[in-house]
Amino acid sequence: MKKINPLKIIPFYKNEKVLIKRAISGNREAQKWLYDSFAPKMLGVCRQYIKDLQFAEDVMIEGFVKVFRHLEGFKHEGSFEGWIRRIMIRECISHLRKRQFVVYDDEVFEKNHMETTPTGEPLDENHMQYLIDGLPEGYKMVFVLYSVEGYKHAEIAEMLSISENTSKSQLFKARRMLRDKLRALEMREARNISNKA
Amino acid sequence: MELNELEKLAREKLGSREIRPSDRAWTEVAGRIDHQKKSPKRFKPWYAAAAVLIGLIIGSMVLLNKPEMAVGTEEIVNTPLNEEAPAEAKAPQDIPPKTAETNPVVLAETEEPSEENQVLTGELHEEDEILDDNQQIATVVETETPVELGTDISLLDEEDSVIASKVAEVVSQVALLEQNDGTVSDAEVDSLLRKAQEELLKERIFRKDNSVDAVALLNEVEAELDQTFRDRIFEKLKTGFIKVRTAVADRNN
Repeated sequence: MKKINPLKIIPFYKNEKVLIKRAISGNREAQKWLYDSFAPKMLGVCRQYIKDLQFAEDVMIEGFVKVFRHLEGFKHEGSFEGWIRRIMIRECISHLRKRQFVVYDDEVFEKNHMETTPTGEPLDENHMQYLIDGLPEGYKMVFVLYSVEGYKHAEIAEMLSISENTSKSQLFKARRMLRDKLRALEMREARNISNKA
Repeated sequence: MELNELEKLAREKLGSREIRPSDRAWTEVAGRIDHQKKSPKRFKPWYAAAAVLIGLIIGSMVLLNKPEMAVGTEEIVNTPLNEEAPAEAKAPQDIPPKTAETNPVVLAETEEPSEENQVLTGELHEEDEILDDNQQIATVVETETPVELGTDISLLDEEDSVIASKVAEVVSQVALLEQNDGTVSDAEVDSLLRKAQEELLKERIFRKDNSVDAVALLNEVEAELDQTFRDRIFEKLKTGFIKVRTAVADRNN
């Protein structure tokens, strides 16, 4: 692969608009720089929704192909990162729908209700991701969109093609499930401490 | 830990979390971007349909206009010959009956078939001098007569008597008209001659042995075609005139 001259990259970095224009014109260095800048964050976003990292990476690749294909459509009115992030989230939703992961049936959710958490360590990124991964896909998507990404129920309802009330209900149940998991975790931690004592 | 704290923590940590993708990810993205650039433009069926439609329209216009042009050119070429060809046999006789003074001369010419034969066998230049007042007919006689002379001399000999009787009939009709009205117009003379010509042609189609003369039949058909063409022209002139008259009347109103 062709090595990128860092001297050429520095002025690119200073002006994102110029970089995007060059990427639109087909400049491979500019495209690579954009990819390198945003790919790690976007893979983190995809991983929030998709449990399997390989699938998450595939979705991120698909998202970046769409980003470069529709780069001319970016009007520089908002954050470029936010624009890419929206594309990635929509791509994740589309992926989950295609694979029929999303189930909005309450009975299915109750089966996974008492899943145990494996660690007694303090809550880090991986631990939180593990807790979220334990949620059913429908709960998880609404929870991540609302609590992590900051979308409103109306926006979530439009993105997932559900009603606002369903979105609110899903969020309520997701929170309840997470609370139960947290309590179970705390009880386990307390037992471990008493056993050690 | 409370749920609110968990959500806050999740927003902070998961929202800014970065995971380094594998090396193959960029290779695949770059490859797919290149593939999209190199892929040819999609076939657009609407353009193809429009092109076919335009082609059909142009083709139909050409095909519809072509026969009319052919008929028109054919008539332009043939009309003078068809109209003049039958006159060749009577050309020396057609001109003199225009005035009453020339009637005896015409009668003399028609009553003496030997003079006709002389004309037909090559002494046409003398006749041309007589017919100088109508150069069109004279040129037709010059050009057309030799062809017929080579082929149908015997036929003309047989028909001389018939032609002479027809000419006499026409002359008598003209004389009668002059006696009644005083003057006879060229149009009236032409109509009488044309009528006589048609009758001669009809008689010529059937030979004595009841066989059909192909040349005469063809001449008759062509004459009919000319007639229909002339009718069409007159019809169009008439409709055009009516339209103009109506438009002028409307404007005046």
